[in-house]
Parts: sequence; C-alpha cells; structure tokens
Amino acid sequence: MTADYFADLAARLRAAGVPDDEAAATVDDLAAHVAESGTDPEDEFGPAAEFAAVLRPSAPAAEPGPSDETWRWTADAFQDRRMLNRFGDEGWEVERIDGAGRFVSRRDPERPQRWEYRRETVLPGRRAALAARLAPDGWEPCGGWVYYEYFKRPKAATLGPGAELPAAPETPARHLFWSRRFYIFLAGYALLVAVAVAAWFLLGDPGGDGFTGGFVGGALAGAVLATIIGVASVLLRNRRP
Amino acid sequence: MTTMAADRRASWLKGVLDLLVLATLTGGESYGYEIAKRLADAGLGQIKGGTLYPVLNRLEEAGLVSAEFRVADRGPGRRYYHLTDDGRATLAEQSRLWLAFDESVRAVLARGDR
Repeated sequence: MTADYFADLAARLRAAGVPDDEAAATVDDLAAHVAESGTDPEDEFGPAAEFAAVLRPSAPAAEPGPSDETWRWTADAFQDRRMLNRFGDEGWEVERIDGAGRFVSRRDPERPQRWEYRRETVLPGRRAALAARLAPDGWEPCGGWVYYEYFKRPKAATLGPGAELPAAPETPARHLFWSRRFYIFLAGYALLVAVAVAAWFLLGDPGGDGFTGGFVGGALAGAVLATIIGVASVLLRNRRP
Repeated sequence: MTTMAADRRASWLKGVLDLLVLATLTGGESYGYEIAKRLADAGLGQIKGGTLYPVLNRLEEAGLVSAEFRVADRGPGRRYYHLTDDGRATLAEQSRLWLAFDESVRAVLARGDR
C-alpha cells in the first residue's frame, strides 16, 4: 500500500516534468517522513494525484525552459473552454492572460504534458475564495477576463504518467478563434442598434418643432454610437490577436 | 475541539505557518518530519505532510530556505532545509509585523473582555 502510493507519486511527479533523480529524492524524503511518524501516506499527504499537483510548482520544469515554445491566441467566450481543452490536449499550458486578452501559452517541445481547463464566473472580490475552493482538486488560476476566471490542471493529476504526449503536435498557425455564434452575435447586436436608430428617426417626435427632434435624435445617435464604439473597443482590445 | 474552533485554528495557522517553519530553522538545518514534530511539541498541533511540504517548496522557490538531499548511512535519505540570509531577513521583518498584529488583536480583545 505504502510502496504503491510512493510509486504512483513518483510516476506523477516525473510525468509533470520533474527530473527522475529529483522525483526519487522527493519520494525518499516523504517515505522517510511516514516511516518516522508511523502514519499512512494517504492520510499524511492526501491522494497522490493532488499531492503531486501541489508539489510540482517547485520542480525545475515549472520554470520556463529556454527551449519552450510560446504561443499567444484567443477565442470568444462561446468556445473558449472547448478550445482551451483542445489545445491543452496538445500540450499547451496557459500561463496568463495578457493585457490584450490573449492566452499566453507555453509548451515544452521535448516532454509536452497535457492540460485541462475550466472557466468560472466570478464576482468582484471573490477570486481568492474561488481559487481556494478549487485548489484542493489541483486547479490553479491561470488568468481572468472581465468576470471570467480561468483555471488549469495538469492531466498528470488525474491520468498520471499517461498525461505525457509522445510528441508535440505542430503549433497552430492561427491566433484567433472566433466561432460562427460570435459573428452572429456581433451581427445581431449591430442590427439591433441599427433598427433602434432607424425607428427613432422614422417614428420619433412626429409633432415636434424639428429642432427638438433633431437635437434629441442627434444626442441619441451619438449615445448609441458611443456604446457601439465602447463595446467594440473592449471586444477588440481584449480579444484580438 | 469543535469543528468551528478547529477551522478557526487552521486558518490562523495558515497565515503564519511559513513563518513558523522559518523560525524552526533558526537553530540550524532540519528536515520535514523534525520540523512538524517541533511545531507539534510547541503546541501547534499535528501539521500534516500534505500541508508542510508545499510550504517548504514555496519557501525554497522564494529563496528563503535552501534544500539539500542527503543519503543517510543508515535508513532512508532526507532533504535537509537550511535558512538562507534572505530567509533570516524575511523572518525578522515578518515576525515584527506579526507581533504588531498580535498586539493589536490582544488590545481589542482585552477591551471586549471588560
């Protein structure tokens, strides 16, 4: 039982990119701990998968290596989770979301590891509590965008050594992944605004003196235009490659 | 101890465990189990390896402790932790802050006691 636990832990650490001798030393050290305390390893350290995931950050592999590939990309909110998991399966680890809203991802071309992702909606001030709630399951925050918070977890935490990819698939040539639904959403939004503006000019203020209608119409059109520019600039700033 | 009291104690410990670990190393190097034992002997309760080793990892990553794995003549090898100069400076600074915080807490609680 004890030997199984440590064999599993060592395999998971190696799968997470910890060098063999480092993983062996860690496991020896922990085995010495339970030998001395007389406790059961699972009681002492928790499930091997979760423990390996929290021990991993100190591993040298967690530091960006000189040969690591970096790739920045983005996707709209309709399909970001699907794309994250797709690229996570190709070995891409999201490190952060940059100022332009792109997922800054890296991959070790020699020993690519698979990653999984989840997205949570979060209220202001609740990020830390959310991260604390997900941490026991091995989820680590990897960036936020407006009210979304993204989390990553190495698949080694659930699959063990099987999470290492035999080879790194090619880096995608694209950087922008907008879905049809997103284009439809944008078109629908533009249409709605256009209809609202047209309705105002056609139906609004029929008995007015011309000046009021013109003034209010102009003010409204200006406000609508400002809204469109505002929404578009946020979308473009945050979502363009 | 009630669950609520245990939870509260756990969150107190969470805020100060890294300092306690650094403090156990001021007298010289030590290893995981010995650090846990010293803290338990000091009345802080049993700190599980699942909590302690990630803290040691973070301290090492931050350069506050250095670690060296040594194979023992008899028995299994162990990773020994040593306080670095940065660790010593951080411990001194953070201990001052903690003690100031502790003093404020005491003052407020003492007023509430009357």
